[in-house]
Amino acid sequence: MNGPLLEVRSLTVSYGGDSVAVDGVDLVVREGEVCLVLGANGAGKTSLLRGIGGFASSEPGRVRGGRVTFAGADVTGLSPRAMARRGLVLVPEEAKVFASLTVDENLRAVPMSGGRAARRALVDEVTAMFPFIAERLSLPAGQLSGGERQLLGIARSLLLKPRLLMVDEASLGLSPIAVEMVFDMLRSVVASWGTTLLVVEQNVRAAQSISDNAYVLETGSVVLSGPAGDVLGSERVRQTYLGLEM
Amino acid sequence: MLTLLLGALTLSAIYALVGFAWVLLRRTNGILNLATGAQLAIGAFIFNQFATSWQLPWPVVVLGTLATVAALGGVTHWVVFKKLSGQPEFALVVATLGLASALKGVSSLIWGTEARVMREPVPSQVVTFGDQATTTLYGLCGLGAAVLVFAAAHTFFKFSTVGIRMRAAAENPVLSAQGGIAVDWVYVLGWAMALTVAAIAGIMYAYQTALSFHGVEALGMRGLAPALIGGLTSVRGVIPGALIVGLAETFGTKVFGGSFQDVAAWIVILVVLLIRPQGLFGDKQVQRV
Ligand SMILES: Nc1ncnc2c1ncn2[C@@H]1O[C@H](COP(=O)(O)OP(=O)(O)OP(=O)(O)O)[C@@H](O)[C@H]1O
Ligand SMILES: [Mg+2]
Repeated sequence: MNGPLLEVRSLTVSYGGDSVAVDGVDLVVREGEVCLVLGANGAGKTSLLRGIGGFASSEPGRVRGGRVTFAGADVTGLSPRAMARRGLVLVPEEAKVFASLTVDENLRAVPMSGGRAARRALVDEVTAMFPFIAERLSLPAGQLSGGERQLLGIARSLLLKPRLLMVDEASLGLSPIAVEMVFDMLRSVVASWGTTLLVVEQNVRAAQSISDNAYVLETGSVVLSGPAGDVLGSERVRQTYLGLEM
Repeated sequence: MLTLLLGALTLSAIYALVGFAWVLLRRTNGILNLATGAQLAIGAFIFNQFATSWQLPWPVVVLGTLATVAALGGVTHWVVFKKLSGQPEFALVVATLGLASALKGVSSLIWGTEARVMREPVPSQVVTFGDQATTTLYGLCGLGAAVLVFAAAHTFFKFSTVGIRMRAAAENPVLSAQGGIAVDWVYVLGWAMALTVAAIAGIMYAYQTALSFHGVEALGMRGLAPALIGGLTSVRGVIPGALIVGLAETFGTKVFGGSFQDVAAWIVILVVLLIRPQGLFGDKQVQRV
């Protein structure tokens, strides 16, 4: 494959009616890269990731226009399950785990590919990356702390052996220490597995250390993009995102 | 007195099976299935077709009924409810009403409307415990069936991978799909399992009374009561629910006469809705403003 791993062209997402949540977004992610999406509340970050990863037919969201190419194939408008099977896996913004299932059941619910031995080995490898999992196996996931829930969501997605992992707000509602924990984990996934990442993150400080490229969304459109250092160093981002955190 | 209690217990077993069918479909597929009664009856008629009309050997009867009913469940999802995904539950419930009358029509076309007597694997007989307490053999069979179904369901949902995925899809279908779970097959399985348990309940009831579409369907609708007591989504909650309804119906009939049989469950439903709309075990999320 010569082209980028993920190529999004003029993607438009709407939830019915005339308004669009994502309005003609272009975005490119190359294999092995970490790509960061920034934007204010309601800018369309979640809608962008959902538009790429697919909506279930029971949901109001639809891809209205544009094209999503993943690993050389046109995957526009495929179902979330079809995307996951192709290795394009989303860790969604809300409800990253099944609260009524135990930690162990959350992992067992993942339909992994490969033979029994390979599956066993992958589970062992992933649980070794998240030490809390082994201690909490029989606890309902709803009783985990917020950070542990985020991590369990990421662990679940890793069992699908993603080529591209999309994480929507990994630091949502977390303390600074928990945010650090989550990003350490993502960093080690990138380092040891070479997984390509597309992350939405409000916590710019936490995300900037691992990002190669960044996109800034405003009302559904990309207003700024480029190497993460340039974008995050720009006046606009410093004022809107970093300035507020000082 | 003991006989009455035993009668209530065997009736509760049937109600537990019916309640299970209601709860399974509500919980897994998210549908309040008003066709449950008709599906109970259809299941019993299919069984009767294999057993009485065709006089097939019993293993063939059992396997044939199971396969037919499960297939019917699968078809129900693929043909009707898959198309309706994303519609509000109200629309789905109306669709189940349509399904109920369609099943009723098909049944009366094929099997007519008069009551039938089913071929019995063993002659029905009265079983006596101790001095006076009596019940029927088929009553005990129903009790055994209920125990088996609940034990099997417990094992399936707790230990099998497919069962765990069904629970995952019941909690959050979108997250399940994003995690690679084939949610449509979960729904197919939900229908197949609900119809199978409904058929078992219908068959057991028909053996204890007679096989008539109307009688079995009415029982199926009354089975909403135990499901509602349990909160509509709690499989475990069905058991106390079934005991309450079984006792109310048995003793109510004793005190107020035979016509009370048809209303006991509905009175329980009304009382539950008035006092505790979320049921004894349901989530306390029912909010009315
Ligand atoms: N399920 C939905 N139904 C209708 N409109 C929606 C839905 N989800 C999002 N929207 C609309 O789409 C627009 C973009 O929302 P989106 O959730 O993508 O923003 P976001 O950048 O992820 O915001 P946040 O930072 O708050 O997560 C908003 O105007 C929102 O109202
Ligand atoms: Mg969002």
